Amino acid sequence: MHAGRGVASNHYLLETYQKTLEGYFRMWHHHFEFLLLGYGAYLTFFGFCKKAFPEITDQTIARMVAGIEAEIFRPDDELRRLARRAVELGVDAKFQEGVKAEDVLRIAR
Amino acid sequence: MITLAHRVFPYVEGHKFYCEHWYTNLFFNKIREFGGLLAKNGFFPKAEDVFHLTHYELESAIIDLMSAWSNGSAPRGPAHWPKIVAERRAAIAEWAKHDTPPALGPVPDVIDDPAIVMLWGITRESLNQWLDVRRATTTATKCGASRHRAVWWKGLRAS
Repeated sequence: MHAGRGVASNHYLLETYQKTLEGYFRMWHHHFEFLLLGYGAYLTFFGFCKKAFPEITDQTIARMVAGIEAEIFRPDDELRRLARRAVELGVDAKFQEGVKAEDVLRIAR
Repeated sequence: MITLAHRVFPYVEGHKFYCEHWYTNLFFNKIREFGGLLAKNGFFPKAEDVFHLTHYELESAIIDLMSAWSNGSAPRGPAHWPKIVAERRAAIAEWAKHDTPPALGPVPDVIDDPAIVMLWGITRESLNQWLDVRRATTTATKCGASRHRAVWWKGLRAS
């Protein structure tokens, strides 16, 4: 009240909401840039291969550009690594289906 | 060209993690927070119900609540949204019981968009396959369509 801002706090509720939407829309712009520029390169390469080597299969071309270390699989890989470690350390029984993460951590301590 | 393809590949594959997975999670959870606020103020029963509103409707609900808060009157939402949310929930529950055809709309003669072939594997052959299925079920569908509509309407009224 004494800060002299001139804007009531309820306004920031609306501002937060509008910023949430704006950020979401902007993210999709980045998404399509990543995706479509990438596909542009793929398809140019694809087209070239088909022209230069008419009998080449789609799969052969795909294999030349396929992913090796996809970052997107890191979370799964980490979970698998931790699961193996849990078995090694003999604590895998603590990790049951349907148990909350906080409970497991509490028991583990 | 291979160098270029290798260079762009991490963006094509990896952006999914940052954009679709991570960001959309953050976004939906933030919207859920707004839903929680509105549910607490009687706009609908659960925070999750916020997803039954379009983002335009949600903005109007937020403005309704924030204005009522500042001028001391009751918000209009609790008298307006619960019935609408209940209808939409019932509609989705009803639609969930029915199958959809693999494709809708006019059939193109050729698939000449390489992205469609590459990403979804849709070719002239898959179109033909779908058309055969469609021809076989058209008669059944024509009789069933009005029945489906009646069931959907009944489902709505019952809620």
